[in-house]
Amino acid sequence: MAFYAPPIARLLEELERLPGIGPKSAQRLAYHILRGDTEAAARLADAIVEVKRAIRFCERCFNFAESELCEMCADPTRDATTMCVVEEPRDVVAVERTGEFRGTYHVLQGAISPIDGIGPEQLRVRELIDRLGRESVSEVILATDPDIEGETTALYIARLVKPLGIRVTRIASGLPVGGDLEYADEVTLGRALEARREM
Amino acid sequence: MRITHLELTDFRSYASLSVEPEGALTVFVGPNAAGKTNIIESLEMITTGRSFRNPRWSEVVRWGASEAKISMKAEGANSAAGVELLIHGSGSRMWRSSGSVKRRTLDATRFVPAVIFTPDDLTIVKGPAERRRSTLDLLGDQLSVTYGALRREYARVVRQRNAALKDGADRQLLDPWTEQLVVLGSKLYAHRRRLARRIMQAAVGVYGSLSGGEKLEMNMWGRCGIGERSLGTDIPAGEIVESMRAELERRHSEEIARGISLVGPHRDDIVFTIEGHDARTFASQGQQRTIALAWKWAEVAVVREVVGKAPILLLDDVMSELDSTRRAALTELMQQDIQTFITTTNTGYFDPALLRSALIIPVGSGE
Ligand SMILES: [Zn+2]
Repeated sequence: MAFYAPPIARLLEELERLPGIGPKSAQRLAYHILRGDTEAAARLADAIVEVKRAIRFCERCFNFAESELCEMCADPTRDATTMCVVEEPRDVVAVERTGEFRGTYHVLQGAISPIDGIGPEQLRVRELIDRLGRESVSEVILATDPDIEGETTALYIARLVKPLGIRVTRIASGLPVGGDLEYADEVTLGRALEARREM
Repeated sequence: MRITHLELTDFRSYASLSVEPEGALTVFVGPNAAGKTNIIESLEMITTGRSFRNPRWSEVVRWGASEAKISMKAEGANSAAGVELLIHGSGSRMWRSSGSVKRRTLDATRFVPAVIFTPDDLTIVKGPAERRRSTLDLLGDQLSVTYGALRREYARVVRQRNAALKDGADRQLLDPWTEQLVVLGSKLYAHRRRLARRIMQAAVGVYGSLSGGEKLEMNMWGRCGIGERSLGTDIPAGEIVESMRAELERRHSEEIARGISLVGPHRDDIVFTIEGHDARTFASQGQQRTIALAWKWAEVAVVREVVGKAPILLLDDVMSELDSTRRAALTELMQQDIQTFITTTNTGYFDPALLRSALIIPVGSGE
């Protein structure tokens, strides 16, 4: 459909690749960019390129980081004996916001989901086990999402970690069923952390 | 609750339609394919969030329109509700109730319970097991948020576990899915069993009086490792869990070989017997229809009992499928202070006294 000049069509195509952006939203965004001034467009393009250049994964916990280690891993005052395992970097932000946790993190970068072809090999599970062998962790808190995939991932990891003689706990449910950790409010997530149960 | 207003915009065949039911009965009369069923479907959607036709959502948007809208106003003794459902051509939906957007369907569909009866329901006895399970589950969804959540989560576990089995997952990877299957499956089994018991208790009496004293029995046959056990007896939660675990162990290699989950409530079935004979093989067409009618009657009773209010009754062209005795029984049910919406090709099927107080809306083929 040649309704658009090729440069606009190309922008629309890229925007529509983004999650949650359908043809209509893409069109709205593209028109907004076209109507704005050149500097605003350059700032947006720069920010996108810069974030890809400057941000990588933390070599220890696989959170987003600006250097080899993320902010949390580089902080020597954090308690290295307690580790909180989450699905995504955004979940680190959610847990940090509660102010209830001072340990370290491990970001799996997803959850086990056979229908999407995601098994433990596609996640940072091996790296987690390696870390537990290297570091002196006494408690692993499983804070994967309270949905089916998050719950199953927690079960899977618990069965790997417990034989290592490390205490494994799971954040309390009471979070919205089928929900994302990210959308739990601070109070709820804070309570869920406090009331964690043994696995 | 009574629906006082229904409005359709670009829904299926209707560019716009507005209905203001007055009394207890609203009859839509018109020839076949005039779009009468679309109205019943819209009422089911706006009250329960689903459609018995199981369409893709995009299908219900009128050809050439960008979105469809169903809106409803309802009033009860001391409550009122306004619900609106927007369905976009892309299939995305938005619920609004009392002016605010509702993120979850269940927050917008708690106001008016509905019991729907279509010609498809007449196959409840001999149709596939899936038909009986889903009839029960859709009632469960309306009665309890927990039931609905359990059913959806369990279905997801089965899909995931089947994918894992097909991938040839090892025991270590399969076990967490199996654990979820047992935990959620045993709960779903218990809930479903309790619901089936309620239906049975109400349906048996109705069937008896409609059939001149024949004895109907209902039972649940499952693949949870629990043998034949009368619906009347309670099974402790722990026993369901243990039976499922044992059955899963027993059929493990078969599951691996076939690559699907063979144990669990997704394979439950409801079985009817009349005077001790399996209704699937022995029931006449008349007896099957009486069972379907008794089941719907029981649904109404169970909704009243659990929710504490009468459901609305949606009848899509069932009068023509029933003989005069069963029509009279259905008419009696409608007169139990239940708001009823019914489609028909011919008002001759109805008791004239009933029609006098009814709102009759002709539906033409030009819609
Ligand atoms: Zn880190």
